[in-house]
Amino acid sequence: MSDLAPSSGLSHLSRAGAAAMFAGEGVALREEPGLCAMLLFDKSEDSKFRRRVARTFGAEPPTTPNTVAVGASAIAWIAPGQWLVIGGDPVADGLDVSDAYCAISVKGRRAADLLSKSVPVDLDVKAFAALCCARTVLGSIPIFLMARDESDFLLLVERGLAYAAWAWLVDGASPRAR
Amino acid sequence: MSGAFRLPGGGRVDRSRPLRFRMDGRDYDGLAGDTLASALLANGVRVVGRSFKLHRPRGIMSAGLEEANALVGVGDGARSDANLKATEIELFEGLEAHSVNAWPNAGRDAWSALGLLKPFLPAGFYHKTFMRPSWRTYERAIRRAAGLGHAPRGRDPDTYEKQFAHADVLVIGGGLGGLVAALSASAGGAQVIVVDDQSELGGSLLGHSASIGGGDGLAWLQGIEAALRSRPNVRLLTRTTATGIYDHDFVLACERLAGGGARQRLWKIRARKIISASGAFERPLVFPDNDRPGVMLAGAARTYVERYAVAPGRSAVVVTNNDSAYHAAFALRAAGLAVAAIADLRASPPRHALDAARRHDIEVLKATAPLKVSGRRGVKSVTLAGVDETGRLGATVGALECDLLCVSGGWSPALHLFAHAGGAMRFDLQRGAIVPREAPQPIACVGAARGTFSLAASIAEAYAAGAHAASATGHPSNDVFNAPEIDEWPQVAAAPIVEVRAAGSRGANSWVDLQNDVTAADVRLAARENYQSVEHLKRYTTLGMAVDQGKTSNVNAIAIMAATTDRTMDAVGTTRFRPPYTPTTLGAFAGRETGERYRPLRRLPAHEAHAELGAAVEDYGGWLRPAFYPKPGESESQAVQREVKMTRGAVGLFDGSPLGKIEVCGQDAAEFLNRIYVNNMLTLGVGKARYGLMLDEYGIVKDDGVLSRLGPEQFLVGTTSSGASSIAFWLEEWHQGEWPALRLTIAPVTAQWAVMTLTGPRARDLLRAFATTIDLSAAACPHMSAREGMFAGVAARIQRVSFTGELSFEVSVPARYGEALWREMMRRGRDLGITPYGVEALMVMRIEKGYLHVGSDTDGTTMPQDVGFAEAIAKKKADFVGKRSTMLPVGRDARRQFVGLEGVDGGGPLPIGAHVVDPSDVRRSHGWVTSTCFSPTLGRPVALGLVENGRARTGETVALASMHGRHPARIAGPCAFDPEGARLNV
Repeated sequence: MSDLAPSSGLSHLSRAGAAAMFAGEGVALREEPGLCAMLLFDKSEDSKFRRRVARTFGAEPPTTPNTVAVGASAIAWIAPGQWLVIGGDPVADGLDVSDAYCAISVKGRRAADLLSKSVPVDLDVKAFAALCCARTVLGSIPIFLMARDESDFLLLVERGLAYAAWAWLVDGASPRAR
Repeated sequence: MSGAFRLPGGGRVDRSRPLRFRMDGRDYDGLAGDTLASALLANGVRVVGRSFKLHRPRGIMSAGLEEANALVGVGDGARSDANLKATEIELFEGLEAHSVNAWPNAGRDAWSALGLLKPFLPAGFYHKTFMRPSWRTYERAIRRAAGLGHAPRGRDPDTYEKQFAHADVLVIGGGLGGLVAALSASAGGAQVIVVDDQSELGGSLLGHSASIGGGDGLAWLQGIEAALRSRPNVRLLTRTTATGIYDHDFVLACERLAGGGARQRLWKIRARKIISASGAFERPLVFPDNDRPGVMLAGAARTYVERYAVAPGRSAVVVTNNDSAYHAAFALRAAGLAVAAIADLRASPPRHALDAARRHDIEVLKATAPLKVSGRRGVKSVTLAGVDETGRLGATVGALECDLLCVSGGWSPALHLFAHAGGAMRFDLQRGAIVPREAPQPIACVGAARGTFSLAASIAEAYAAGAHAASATGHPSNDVFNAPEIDEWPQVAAAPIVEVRAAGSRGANSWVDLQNDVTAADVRLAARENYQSVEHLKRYTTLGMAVDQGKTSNVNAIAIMAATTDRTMDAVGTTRFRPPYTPTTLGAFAGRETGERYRPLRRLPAHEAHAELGAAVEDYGGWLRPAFYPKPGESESQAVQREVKMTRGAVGLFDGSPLGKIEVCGQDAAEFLNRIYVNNMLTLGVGKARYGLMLDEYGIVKDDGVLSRLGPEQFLVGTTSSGASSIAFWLEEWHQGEWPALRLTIAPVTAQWAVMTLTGPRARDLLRAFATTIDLSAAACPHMSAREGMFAGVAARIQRVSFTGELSFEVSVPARYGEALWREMMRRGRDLGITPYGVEALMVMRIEKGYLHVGSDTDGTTMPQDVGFAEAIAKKKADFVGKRSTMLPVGRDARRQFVGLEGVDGGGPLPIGAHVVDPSDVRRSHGWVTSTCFSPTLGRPVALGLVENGRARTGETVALASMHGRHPARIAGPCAFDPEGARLNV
């Protein structure tokens, strides 16, 4: 067992995971520490790979760009022949990038409104329904964004920029920015 | 009471909500719903500003954002706003405004004597009158006298917000055309956004009442507004000005907020279809003395009466070349103002107009125009004369007393946004206006914005445009629209007269651009001096510049230029409108991205631990990194020198996490990297690391780093910290674009790993304090090894590479353990004398060793042979990116080479950037100093540089020339410390 204690990009706010509620604004932010993230690559387009992924994660990797398939883990299409697996445990087939990111959930009635202040993608439920995903930006910060449902978004931000993204979201949710 | 000129009834102002405000130090009363302009007119204020150049007294001339005269500053201190138009400021309690180009105020302006100098201040005067001895002699005084308001000096205390929005159809303008278009556009469920700059929807109907469907037109339109509000797919934004259309149907709109939160919100709208229902601007006529306070656009006068219940005067004369001003005259008369006459430039105005005037008991003077306007601080009388169809004035008819002169020269569609979208235009003689043709972006103009001035035709056109946009975006509907009955005059073209003048007159007192004091004579002067293109005219005379961007002057100027040079309007051209449509607060563009948020910096996994050690943290390539760790009382250089000494003497700990890391895996990974790097990567064994130099196609050094082969098909590619993301893209580009058949994957993993570098003779001793499965002995893990295994209980990678010349281990662990590992190393290294060191100490140590730093020691011309890689290129048979370019003649002759430089007279560091010169001939630069430091190890300054043929000149004495004088120096090899590498191979 490790004698090194893990920390996240937001640990200085709270060891257990940062959280912020904006009841009046209809938004809650919560860090999801320790969430596993893995990259899968396959350029062969053969069925062997698809079957193997389905066996391991309980869902075939989606072929429609910017969509997510959900089994034991969520498998998000991020580029041709490239998927980001979120949740579950690391497996040998994948390249573990869990530590490269910080996961933040943005939930609530006005979650899409808050994000739309600085995310250029159309987050209206008609355009970005549950299980849609995108690599985009939050202001000037690169992010991966996924809709779990119309009022629940999961945002992955590079660990080094996690605090900047968090502070940006908190600032955007504050009444002074209304 | 809210002013002596407030009408007893009517208007859209709220008489139950009086507001107090101040203008130029005087208190006034107004009403909610007023603009500053309407409130000033209600109080009888006539002179509200001074002109830009000649400080002539000017009054309110419009009721919208085309206003050229009534510029005011609002507020003071950091919250002040300069150059707002009084016509677009919604009045609020406690508003404080002041005129911008007058001292002490607009009414009594000390600069007004400048008017006497007018003959010496023609267009382009600064190139003529003030050339001896030179323009600079006069520049300061002239700049003080001319000009607009002052920008606030303090930091803006307000916040600004941004909002992205997406629409199937964006409708610009919430008047008749806009709302009707939105009605059909949204009927089938399309997402529709309507933006309008006013506080309430209604557009021109707010100030120009009309009968639609047998009843009040505005009430009819409000029925449509209510229908739109009930549709969830429609968003109506008031107080929101569309300021620009950019590529890919991207529209910026600025919303003014008043709710205690942000001050403005910048909407960033992506629209699949854009409908511009932005209306039209009324044109003034150009005639002598047409800048007197009290000369006002006829439509504006009508708006003041009907929307704001303000009489802009007591007694009016109306001058027009078209029908629209008749309605203004009738509105003034209906509100109780005297209308002395309508002077119509046309010899035979249409029957319907004459009949209506007779019914309103207003005299119409045919083929009549103003010859002279009296009243410096406000119109007192107008002298009228006969006019022919070319605008030539004839015999005097007589003078009429009046305090308001309403003018109309026809209407110009507001084509600014259409032009932003790349739209082409043409002059339409029938409509007497420049009208839109087609645009590359999906924008359609409707109503007055398209030159359609009939209400019935506007409604039909707008409905069709909305329905078309709905269908085109996949949201057709079967709604049936019952077009309302409208009883309106047939459309009659305006008389094509822009300027009236007496025979022999050059128009020296006839103003074309009121804001910039450009007269008809100035336009003619420009034509004579061959500034005949519309763009030259603009720049030579300043016509159309500044706050109003020529909204009332452009078309008139083009017409005068066309007549003067005997060309058509189209041949003269139209100026290219560019965003923003109207001045927009810079804060809105900045949004919340100010201060720290302007450019977010990356934090290291161990950021908190560094902060606790008191690290001086700085921005290095987008990362916040410790520059050095000062002890109490230590200066930067003292701290850096100590860190170097302690590291070379015992052990130092450095956070190297930002170093770029890219995993390149697959059957062809080795082949791929061999094609990318100058160095041979095919021969790199598993478990070994090798330095790699990367070139671009032109053979220029692009990046470098250490590559480790972790397995037969697995490479860990190191890049510079600043190249971490760009090099991953670079590799992807070569893979995807040039060699897609190679089987490999490229994954940037910089952020996944925290890298703690232990450096110094005791580094291995410290590592032994940790449990690890990796044999770190010198025999098992020599210099340039790469190992994977468990370290301190976590899966780790350890690379023996060194950028300091000392025994060095880069320990990589998953980033989540980075902070804990740093703390553990510090704790367990205490007895060994561990010292944390920052980027600055690292730089000193690598300069001592002569290690190249790409970007510092190289520039956009540096090739591998310049930095000691000629042999590597010669030896490598395989091709690689940039190889061919290294063989070109330009790659061979008299090149600047990477060398060391030693100071020969002691003293401090050699000046960075100093030129290397021959002491006997200092006129030519042979190169320059690229890196420099004082070496605590050697006790003398050392430096690196790029010097012409430098390697062959080792030992030569040169001079380093900088702003601080000349230093003698000697060219040396790059490595000043431990050239044998004895400290490394232990």
